[in-house]
Amino acid sequence: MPVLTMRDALNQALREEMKRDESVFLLGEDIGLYDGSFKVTRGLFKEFGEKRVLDTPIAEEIIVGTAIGAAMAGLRPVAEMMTVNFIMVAMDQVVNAAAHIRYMFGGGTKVPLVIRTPGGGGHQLGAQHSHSHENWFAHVPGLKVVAPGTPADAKGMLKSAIRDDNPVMFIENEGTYAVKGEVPDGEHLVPLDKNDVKRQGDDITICAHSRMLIVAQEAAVELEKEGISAEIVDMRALRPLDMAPVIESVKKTSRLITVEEGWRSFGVGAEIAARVYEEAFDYLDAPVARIGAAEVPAPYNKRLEKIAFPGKADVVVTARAMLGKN
Amino acid sequence: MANVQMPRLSDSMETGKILRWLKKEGDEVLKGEPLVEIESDKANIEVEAYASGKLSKIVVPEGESAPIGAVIAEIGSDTGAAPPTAPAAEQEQKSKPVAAEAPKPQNAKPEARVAQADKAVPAAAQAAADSGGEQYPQGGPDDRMEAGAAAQAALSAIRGPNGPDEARAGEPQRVSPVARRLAEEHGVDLRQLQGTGPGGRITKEDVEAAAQRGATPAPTLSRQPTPRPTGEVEIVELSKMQATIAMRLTQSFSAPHFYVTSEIAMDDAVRLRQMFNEAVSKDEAISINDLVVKAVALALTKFPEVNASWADGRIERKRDINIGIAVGLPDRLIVPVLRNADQKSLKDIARESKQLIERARTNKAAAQDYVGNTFSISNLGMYDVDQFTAIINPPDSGILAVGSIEDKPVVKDGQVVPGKRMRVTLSVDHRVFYGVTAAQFLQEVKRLLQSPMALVL
Repeated sequence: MPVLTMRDALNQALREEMKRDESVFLLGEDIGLYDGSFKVTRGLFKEFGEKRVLDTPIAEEIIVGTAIGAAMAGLRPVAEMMTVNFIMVAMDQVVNAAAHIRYMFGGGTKVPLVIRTPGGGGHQLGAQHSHSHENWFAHVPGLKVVAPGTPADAKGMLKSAIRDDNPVMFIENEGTYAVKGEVPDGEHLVPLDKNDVKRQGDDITICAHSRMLIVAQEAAVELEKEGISAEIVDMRALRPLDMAPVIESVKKTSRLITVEEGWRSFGVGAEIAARVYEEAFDYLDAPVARIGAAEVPAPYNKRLEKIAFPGKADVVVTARAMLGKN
Repeated sequence: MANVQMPRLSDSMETGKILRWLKKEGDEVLKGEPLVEIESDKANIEVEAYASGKLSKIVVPEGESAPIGAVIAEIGSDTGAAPPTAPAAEQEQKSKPVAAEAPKPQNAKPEARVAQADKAVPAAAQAAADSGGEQYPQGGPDDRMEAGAAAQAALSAIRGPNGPDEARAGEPQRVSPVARRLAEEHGVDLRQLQGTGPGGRITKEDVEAAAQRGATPAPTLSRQPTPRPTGEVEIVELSKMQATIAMRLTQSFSAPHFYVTSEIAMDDAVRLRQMFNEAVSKDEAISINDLVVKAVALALTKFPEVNASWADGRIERKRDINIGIAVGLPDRLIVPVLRNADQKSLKDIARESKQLIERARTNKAAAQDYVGNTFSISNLGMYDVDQFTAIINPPDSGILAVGSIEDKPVVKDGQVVPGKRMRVTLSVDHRVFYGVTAAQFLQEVKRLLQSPMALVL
């Protein structure tokens, strides 16, 4: 199987879907002539032309609004927000329009829209450019939210997202574009509502998505050396949130750590923990441990930034503590 | 050095009185040995040592009382068996959180320092900044060897406010949900356990270990009710599990029951079993009960109204047919569940029920062994019982009580001939199904057992 970077896997998904369906088009800042800020759309402007790859002004509300209108009119737009940080000025469009329109019109119209956008921190970009907002979107009925952590899932989920008739928030991560992995050629679809056990284990369950999936995998390798067997559930499907593999895993391990790159408060881990308390309380051997970014605006200082975002050591130490191996 | 704390011996206990020290200062004490007799508000109980070593100091003398969690004695770790804990002097000052400041062994892993930093994230961060990064190696965040700010809240939650090792003096016993559930299932008395988990929490492993000990004769663990003479009667305290059984049976018996008895000709079934067992190896042999299980399961496929539960004013009909098999043990009654019995061959039913019963007898049953029953069977056939009635096992709405197979004269074609007869009695929750259904269901069970080839096919 070919090995691709996450960036190229996403590019492949976009190209294949644009070839397959003429109604698919891209819009966003610098995605055309410049090939995209993170080069995800490389070569597509040249291949498909300016009608299907639209360079837009720096005006996120207009990008999303335009995409919603096009989607309602029958096209399948894929809008790129350069980073998730910039989507805040477009939140009215995302929530009040994209998420709710289909319901408010009694199903009379649909919004087959994908918004692709990378989040995450750790690149010394300061407080305003280091956000992870997937939990904001996952809070809203009407949106689907996915956050893949492997190139294969990135391709398969982006293709599924483009074919889905609902608005999908497709969360990427600046820190994973260069991550490599095997990616199936051609028609490879990954469902938007299925989370996935990426590693089998017996002693502890770790839930993570996007870049934190990689952190969790590194931690699991470290823990294995100490005789701790960690099971990793990739929480790539955040809304609808597929809890089945988590519940099944917790019933086996009795211990759960959640890892997310955003803040803990009201976060992805909080939701997972609540569901586990509801569905598997009598199987828990310890409180659910939530790891997330320190509750401060992300520091610019490199040293501070390192301890503010979750890393392998955080997961390893938390796992040891949970097993009483301090 | 390990501290012996005043244990919580009942839910309402606040202080306990030392009746008698069973060891003197300077005695060697073994983990699990009776150490002290304590009077609570409910009973006098012998408490065993949770660590081995020399009883270096008796803090609370005989006749005096102390609150739950107070240190009543110290056991030295001369034998090296006791885990490192906070010094007693600090422990005695109950109001002061001690464990966070507890000295760590010299060879502690670097992460141990994190415990002390739990409350000091900003300070740690500041230190990192001030040191110009010396404290953290170059590279990405994943090069860190220590937990950063991202894990601090999680670590605090796991370890509790007092740090990783110590139970909090005077505060309620910490028990994980899974430990509580397993303790109930295995009849383990949590009050007799000392948790080994973070923050002194009783974990799954602690309960499993206790259940294991309970399975082998281990007089040190006083799980057996202690008889205590009072006047002319002997009072036997119930184990937690016995109390649960009593409560559930009382609940169940409040359902309106009726009973239907039928006598079944077992001649062919006995013959079939004999032939079957001659054809297979010894460990594949089937019992009469296996035949009854299979017959009942097959009959239930035709009577979904019997395979049902009363559920708050509605009836839940179950798709699965899971047969509970009552197993009597000297001190309790348990009902492991054989799943999808209607779809299993006799051989599988025999093998699985052997395993289930064996696990139940040796206290090794998994939690799921006891859940999901939709109908139950209680068989006292091996105890020379003509017939009896059983109390429904919730959430079922029926239970079949099976008596012994008896050789008796029967009339066949106008002639008195010897026959093998077995009496079964169906107890029914009258809210869920009615007399005619009960009778027809029994007829079907009877038909299957009297033409037992149907059970093999």
